[in-house]
Amino acid sequence: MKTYKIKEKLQKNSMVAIIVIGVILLMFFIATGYTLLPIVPLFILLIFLYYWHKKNDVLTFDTHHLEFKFTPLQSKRFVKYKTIIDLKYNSKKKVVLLITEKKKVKLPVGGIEDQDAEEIISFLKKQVQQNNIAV
Amino acid sequence: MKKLNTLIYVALAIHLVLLLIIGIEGSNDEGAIKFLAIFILIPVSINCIGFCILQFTSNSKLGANVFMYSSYVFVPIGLIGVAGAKKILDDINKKSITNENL
Repeated sequence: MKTYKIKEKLQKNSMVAIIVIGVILLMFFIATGYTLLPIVPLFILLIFLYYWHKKNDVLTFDTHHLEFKFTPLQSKRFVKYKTIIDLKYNSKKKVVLLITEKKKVKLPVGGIEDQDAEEIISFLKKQVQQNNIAV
Repeated sequence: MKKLNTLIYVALAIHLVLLLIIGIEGSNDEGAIKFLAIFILIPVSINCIGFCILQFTSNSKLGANVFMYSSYVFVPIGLIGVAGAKKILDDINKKSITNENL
């Protein structure tokens, strides 16, 4: 079983956003004595996202299937290797479109380190080849 | 009694505390806060029903769905409940996928 975490750059960006919003909230509170309420939900959400990404793996390759979940509110997607018929890679958007027997599943590899993304794509291509040979 | 994931307990506790605070405020008020307290009572009751289904019956999928949809009312703090319910639903899906592979 192989697991992947979110890009470190993205984690750093959300940390910077948390600090910036925190400073804005603090400055506003010091200046006016009030809390800037409309920004508080965004602040909570960013902190929640940051810790969720730190704790959880976003992509897992199991023995028979792959599973991914890039945000805490997204449902986990499961794709069995044997159901993947074809795949298309959009290098601009960094999205792999997995075409399975029943549906098309978008796997956003842009959220993972570039080296890992290449490794994932080559692994998936191998799976597709194997499946096509088996058919 | 089943042991659920911690996020569910935390979310339910927060929703109940929220209802309690607004309820206390609303009891002294005749206007908007009283209306808000009554309005919040509905999703909190549905939340409790979802929790009971999760805790005391074997139909976890229904319980998690009920809990999740009623937690959406409390966004952003309700996101804790939504994340907890999603986790339960993901576990159920994973179990079914693993069983299919066996």
